[in-house]
Amino acid sequence: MKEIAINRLPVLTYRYLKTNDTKILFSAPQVSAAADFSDKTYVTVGAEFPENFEGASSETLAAALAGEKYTITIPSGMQAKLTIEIKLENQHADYAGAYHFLLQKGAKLELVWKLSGTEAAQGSYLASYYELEDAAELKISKLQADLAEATLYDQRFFKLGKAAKADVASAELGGKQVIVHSRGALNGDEAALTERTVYTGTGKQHLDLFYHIDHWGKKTVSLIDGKGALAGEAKKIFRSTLDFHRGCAGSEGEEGDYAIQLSPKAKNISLPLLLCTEDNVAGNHASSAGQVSEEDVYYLMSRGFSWEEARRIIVESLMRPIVDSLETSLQEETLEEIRRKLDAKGE
Amino acid sequence: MSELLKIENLHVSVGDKELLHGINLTVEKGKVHVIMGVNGAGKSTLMHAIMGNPAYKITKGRILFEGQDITELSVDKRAKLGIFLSFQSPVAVAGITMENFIRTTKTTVSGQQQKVFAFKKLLKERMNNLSMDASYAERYLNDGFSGGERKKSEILQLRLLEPKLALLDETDSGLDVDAVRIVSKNISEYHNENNSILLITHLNQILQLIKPDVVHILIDGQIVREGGAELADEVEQNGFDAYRLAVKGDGNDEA
Repeated sequence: MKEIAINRLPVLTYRYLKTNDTKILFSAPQVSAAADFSDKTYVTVGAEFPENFEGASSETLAAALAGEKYTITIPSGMQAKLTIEIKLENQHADYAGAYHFLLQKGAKLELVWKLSGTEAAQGSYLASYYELEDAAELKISKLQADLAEATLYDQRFFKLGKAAKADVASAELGGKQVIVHSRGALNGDEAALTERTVYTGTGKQHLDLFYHIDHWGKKTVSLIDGKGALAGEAKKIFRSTLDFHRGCAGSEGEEGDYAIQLSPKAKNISLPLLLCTEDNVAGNHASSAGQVSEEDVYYLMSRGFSWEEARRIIVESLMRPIVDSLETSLQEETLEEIRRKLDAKGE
Repeated sequence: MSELLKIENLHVSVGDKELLHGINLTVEKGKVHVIMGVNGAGKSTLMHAIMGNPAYKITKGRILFEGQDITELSVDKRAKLGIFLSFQSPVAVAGITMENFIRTTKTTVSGQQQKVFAFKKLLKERMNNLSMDASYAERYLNDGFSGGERKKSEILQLRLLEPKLALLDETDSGLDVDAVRIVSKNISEYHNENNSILLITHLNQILQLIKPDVVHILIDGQIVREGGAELADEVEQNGFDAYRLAVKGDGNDEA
């Protein structure tokens, strides 16, 4: 194991705040698990990645690239659905894989990622590069749950052409250490990228979430939306950046993180950054963290719900809009997992 | 006529400040009681104390509901006994549709599972009565609702939950003339000989539509006068000055 820095901010702040990056202990994976595809029509083994593909760190990206490699090409004008499932179990405690998705002009893909497993799971090192040509549309739903002892790296990069649209909804519920690193380049005019994440941190979970979207094309649209709850001694850091570059006139972006702290020992840091070198844009950023509102609890209790039920309703209601944006088959499972985690003793 | 609610010598504080100083009040089944008073008199405090809001601490006295001492009972248990508070500022709960929320609430309060289609039909009927667009049933509870729509949402819950005691905290405030008429009509339709209403209002319009049996004047945390519906007319004409003076000891108790 060696100490590495991950999820470094694009613009650094005071060092004493200790938020410029996160230091973690890194070990390379023992590749043993394999991904399971619902349909291999468009899947080929092997992939190449551009040099500008950045991960949480060079080490974590290299670990993913050393594993399985696949290219998924959706031909122009075609529509496809694909589920990729990775299970980490006793004999297959690690996974490493890198995926290059190419959606040709006007292609559409509904993609579901499912990552699950047992307490024996050690780690998942995932990297995916999404290249959307003009007017292509991508919808990603991701659920990761269980994996109580695992370190999970998810590194993704989106390159969007003119009027291309990518909509990502993720449920980050499992894992001991969860590292997400997502970057988007809105190159084409009117391209749009949405990153929505729901999370629950319990016990001693550590979530390190990084999102960065570059607006290059005109009238591009972005949204980064994080919502979750932290209990026990969980720790979460949310770094998000919207960067409006010169020439992206008429672009709009919004970023925000809203966390409910269910325990005084839970730790939450949110850093929503706005960078801008173009005048004619609209960017909003926000974050809030706090306990469940006593006023809201009282209102719900006045309708017959117990304190515990009222708290659960409030937490769920914060997350529900993102859960509802997941692919239908994942929604109930996600809600049940959120309930199970937040109801568990010793949170 | 049996007692539904009995409040004995109720003292209520928030922090170090006492807001209610010895309230005595009895509400019988089938009756409509109205509480009137100036802003800050303690009217909403009384409602929240009856509902059990933990922010309002009962330092002395007790509250009986159907003969049971509920002074120490939690808010949810009071709701299950049949007490309902229509909030002055209802909160929004994004993520739960109004239909799901009310159906779940009805199941929780009544202890009986609600049949989906029967409930849907009743909900639609009640919403129609309140001139609420049916699409609101699929919207998140109170999320993005105007002040008036939130008040209607409260009365919709009242109609569907059918509590024994309805505490209506300025349900008519923020409503236009037509909405006051619609809401009042729904409250009247809810009311029968088996339930009671305790209503706070500053306006006489709602009292033209919901006839009070008893009117209480609350000033500076004390009930200073009680009477019939004519008392509301008297307040409408003369205001509260005479009652204020009575509390300060400069005036006539008979005001």
